[in-house]
Amino acid sequence: MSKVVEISPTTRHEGHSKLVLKVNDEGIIERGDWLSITPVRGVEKLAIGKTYEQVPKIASRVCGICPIAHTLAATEAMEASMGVEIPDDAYLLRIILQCANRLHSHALHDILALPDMYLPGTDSKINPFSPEEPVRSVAKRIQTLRMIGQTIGEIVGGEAVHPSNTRVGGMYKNITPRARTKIYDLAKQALPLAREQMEFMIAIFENYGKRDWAEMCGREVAIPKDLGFHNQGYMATDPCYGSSSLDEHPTWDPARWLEVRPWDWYMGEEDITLEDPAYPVGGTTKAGGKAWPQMQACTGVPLYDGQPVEVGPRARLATYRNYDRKGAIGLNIAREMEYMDSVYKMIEAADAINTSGSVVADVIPQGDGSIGWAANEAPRGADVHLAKVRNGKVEWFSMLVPTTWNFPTCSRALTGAPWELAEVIVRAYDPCVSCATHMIVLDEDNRLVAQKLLE
Amino acid sequence: MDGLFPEVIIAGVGNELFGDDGFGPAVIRALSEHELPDNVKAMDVGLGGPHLIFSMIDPEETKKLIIVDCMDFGGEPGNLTKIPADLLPKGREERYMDAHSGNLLDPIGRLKGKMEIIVLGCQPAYIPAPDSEEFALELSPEVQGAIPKTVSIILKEIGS
Repeated sequence: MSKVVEISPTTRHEGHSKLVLKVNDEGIIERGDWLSITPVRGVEKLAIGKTYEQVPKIASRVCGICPIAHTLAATEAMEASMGVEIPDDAYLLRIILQCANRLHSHALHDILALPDMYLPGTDSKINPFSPEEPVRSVAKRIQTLRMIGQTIGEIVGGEAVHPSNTRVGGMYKNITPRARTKIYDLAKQALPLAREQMEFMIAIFENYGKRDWAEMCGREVAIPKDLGFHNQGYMATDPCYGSSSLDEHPTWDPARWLEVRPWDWYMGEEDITLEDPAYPVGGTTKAGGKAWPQMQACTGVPLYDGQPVEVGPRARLATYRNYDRKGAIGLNIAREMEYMDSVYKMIEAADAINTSGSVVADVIPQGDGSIGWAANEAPRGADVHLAKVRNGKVEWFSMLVPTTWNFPTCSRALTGAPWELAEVIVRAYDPCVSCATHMIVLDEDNRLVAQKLLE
Repeated sequence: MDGLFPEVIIAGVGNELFGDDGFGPAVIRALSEHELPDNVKAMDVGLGGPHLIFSMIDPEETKKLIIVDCMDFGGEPGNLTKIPADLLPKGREERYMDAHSGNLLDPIGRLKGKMEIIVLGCQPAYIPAPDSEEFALELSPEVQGAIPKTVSIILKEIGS
């Protein structure tokens, strides 16, 4: 008879999500639901009535991990609605920004994934914050790659986190010849590091894929060879950058997209009947409670051609380069394979850019309410924004962020895995579940943490 | 590497979609009207402060980190507080959980003792709850009013 186990919250990704897993007597997942429990963002509602310049800045603040993707997708959705063609040099700057973000984000992913993995030849898991070698050197390399990505992002985008140099119609400023040289130098510094990191991580993932078991909850859990396999399709709009409705041959089609309610997709109310206090961190949800995914999921379920699809590195490689590795390991390896392209693309774009060229469109129409869309290939997958702009004001705005596409696909990929490894599958998707505000408040004992008040 | 972080970093943390949580970025904007010394950089780190920025700072380069954020310390709206990092509670260094957990303490914990860290906090008047579907793009008058004072404290801290 099936039992139900709940892992909430899931960890080592961005945002808040949970897993509700129906498992058989051997602990193998028969039906898994992975759902966002991050509160609804509501940014689409907030955008209505704002100017086309304000909305990309607002969209950028929805997340601190992928603000560049949201800025670019939102800016280009405005341009698509208004019919604004940007100059080539502005496009090249956006390419550099995109690749810098991908370099940084993939390196961040390695930190999140490593603690599931083992040092080859041992049964020791890898904590990237360990002071011991060889892990220390790997962590330092990851940090340097992130630093290079963020520094280049700052040079081109104006800020390292929420870029301000992008604007509807292109970019506010071109870069100087000196800045171009710096980008070039940083990218060349990244090349050998990116190659070493890619090769190291692929070896680590391959090693995990060949292992028979993983230590979880104080016991050995068998790793199936088809860990994280699914039979859904892929959706990617470009090997690197993206597409928009202004393209001569757009690679995304809104007519093929349909969004359904979580009520129509997720499990109904279930009794939690299996618990494991040894599950990291802090154990699974205690038995005796209830889980109700169709009521608790905080996102819609987007379908493409009537089915959930996978977006992200593997979708890009499968669509444009015939990559065919399936499962969680295949997805992790695909991500690593994007390291080198990110760096080479930056070098190519820096070479091609004319630093004296105009980076703002000569004419910026104010919009007639036509629908426009832009799909940005964010590190985690296609980030599709849609907009209607009329007389400079946004009438309608929608964001279909990568993890929204991946939630139902990854849920399918859970079937057949031991429940203890469900998070390894989820993490392979590098989820970014969205975010909200934060504060530091009091210490563990609810004591005020302040030295003195300033008038 | 000649990278992001010079000797002194002033980092404005917060989300401008959530009312007074935008205090940190607003202070950084106000600082842009002042000429800062070459060894100082003021950054709007927005939502990416804890994990994008603080986990990358190199103690070999950076000697002082000033974090500007809103903070509920039980004061009146607009009150300011200054907290040395030593007084902050411990983070969860031993179990890295979530790049979005909204906690400054983990990365600060890793930098503690390796550089001077100061947190400048402003008591907020209003921050909409994330699940309320309400947004506030403006700072409250009290918190807006705290910006000049914060700027002068920062300028004093960096000896400018």
